[in-house]
Amino acid sequence: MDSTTELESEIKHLIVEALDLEDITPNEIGSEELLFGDDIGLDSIDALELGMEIRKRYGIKIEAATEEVKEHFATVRNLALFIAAARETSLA
Amino acid sequence: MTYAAIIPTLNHYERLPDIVARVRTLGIDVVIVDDGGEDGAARKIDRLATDDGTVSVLRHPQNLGKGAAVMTGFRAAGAAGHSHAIQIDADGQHDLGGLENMLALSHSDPNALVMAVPEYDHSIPLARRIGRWVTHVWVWIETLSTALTDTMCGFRIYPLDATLALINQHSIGTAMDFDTEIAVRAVWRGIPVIETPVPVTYPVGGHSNFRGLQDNVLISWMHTRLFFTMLATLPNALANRPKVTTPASHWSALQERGVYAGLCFLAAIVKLLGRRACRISLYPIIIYFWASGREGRRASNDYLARVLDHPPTWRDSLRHFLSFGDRTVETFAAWIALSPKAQLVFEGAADLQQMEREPGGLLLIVSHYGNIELLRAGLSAELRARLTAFVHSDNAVQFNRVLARFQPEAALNTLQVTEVGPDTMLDLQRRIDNGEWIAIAGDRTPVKGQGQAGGRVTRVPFLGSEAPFPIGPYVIAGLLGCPVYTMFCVRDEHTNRHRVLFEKLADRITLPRGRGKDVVITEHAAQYADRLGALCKKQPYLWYNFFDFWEQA
Repeated sequence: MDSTTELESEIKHLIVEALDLEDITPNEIGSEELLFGDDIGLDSIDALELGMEIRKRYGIKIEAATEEVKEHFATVRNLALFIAAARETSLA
Repeated sequence: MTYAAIIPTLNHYERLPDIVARVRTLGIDVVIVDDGGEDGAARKIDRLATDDGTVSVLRHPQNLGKGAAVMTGFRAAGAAGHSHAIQIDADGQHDLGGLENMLALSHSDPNALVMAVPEYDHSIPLARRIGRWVTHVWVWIETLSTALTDTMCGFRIYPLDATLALINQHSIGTAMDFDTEIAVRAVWRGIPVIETPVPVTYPVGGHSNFRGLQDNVLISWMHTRLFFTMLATLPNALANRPKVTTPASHWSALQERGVYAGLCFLAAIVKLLGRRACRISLYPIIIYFWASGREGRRASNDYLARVLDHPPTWRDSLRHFLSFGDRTVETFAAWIALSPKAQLVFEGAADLQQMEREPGGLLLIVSHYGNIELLRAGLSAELRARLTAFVHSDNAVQFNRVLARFQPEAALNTLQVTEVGPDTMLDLQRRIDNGEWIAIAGDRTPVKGQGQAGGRVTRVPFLGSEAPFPIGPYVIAGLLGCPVYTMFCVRDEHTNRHRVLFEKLADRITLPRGRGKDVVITEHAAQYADRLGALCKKQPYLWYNFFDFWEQA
């Protein structure tokens, strides 16, 4: 559980740094807030940059952009679970 | 949800008291719209109005047509705060016994247009019966579906918000053509339709306001207009085809078969008439759009003033519109593969061949200039297999899927971008790694997506003043680190052949962090705008953005 929280915090820092966000700090991003909805309000350009950063940092790859895959990127928590799961698969 | 009944009338008053009383028993407000009838009838109609406003009478000072009367009623009902409007004919041919069932259906799906399908008894004259069948067939062609079975019956419940938006945006036939046209356009707009059978008696002894030849000519003109509008917006018409209500396991197969049949029919028309005849028969429609579309005409004039060496006249903007009509037929011919490859002349062919040999992918910036659709017919099979179009709506995706069945050679891979997420980037990277060529439009600013803060643009000089251009293509290219090319497909007005211009924009775009990033993006957007602007000056009539490009919000 702790490692997930650590990962979440890491992802929040990554979001703020990669996107040069000036009006929000990592701690202000709630783990269950919608990144692209009304909560944080990232736009499509942010989405593209974030996607690339996640790929670089965690080596995440996807086979196709399905609805299910979209869900993985909805909140910091979902993203942390997705990355953690991807790591376990690659270790196994 | 509150309902108001709209009863358009032209000199019909005998049956009105019964109809009004019947509707009032359901507690529904009534708006009678007298479409400029005779004084004697007007006096009798006025007597039906009540002081409490539950029954009101509106009057056109002169006869404007049945459709105009219904639309007057819609606007009044909307202004009074009603959510739905019930349309009922004044001649008493609708059996109001069916109304309660229609209301129940409307309650079950408040967004739906509920339409009565008349079950005629034997009182309908043969000529009218044949006329109705002709209309049915036209409607099936226009909606590429047999889901609308009867569009001539004016007994319906309309969802008011969507309907008012529809009539404010399009000029709908104001006479006997109204009932059919609004139903077809509602389907195109994606408004769900529920049909329900209602017994109808052809009024005996009563007079009909149907004016024989005159109304038939009007209705034929409406179908011609709708048919060509459908052709011009084919992907939309296909995507919004109403679902035929058969068991779930069957309808998808039926749908596909229906679209396939629709495409076969259209292909047959183009083959039969030939492209030239198609173009000519399209002209009246284009002229109609040109004459009735002030916004588009103004945008065209504004654009032409920037690129022509003389102040544009009405002839120039008409020519601009007609050129768009030519493009529509051309596109369709390309879809059904009637454009022989030999008509495409590649410029920068050496570059193209070199890039085809490269295993990696690239980003291709395309434009609403000329006709990039022709590439479907003109690219080599290997390259077409590598090409993926980044498209803005799922209509395009659906259309492409159907097209792939109809004409496998004309289908492209598509990637839908209505919702761009981080996964989109991962998907793009995978595609580029696999050697795909991603085509993306450089001259359309992105639409606001759901829950997204709208697309970011950069303003760069374009034909004399700054205009907004999307930054998406350059951000994507920067993140992917892949080569960026522009591609245009330009019709040569003299030889009627098409030149394909393939030109490098950058080997790769490196985006620095911070402020420098915006500078690099703007530089590349400006370079693209330059290239597009030069082509616009060379052949002005081939850029098809009929809205104020410079002043977009």
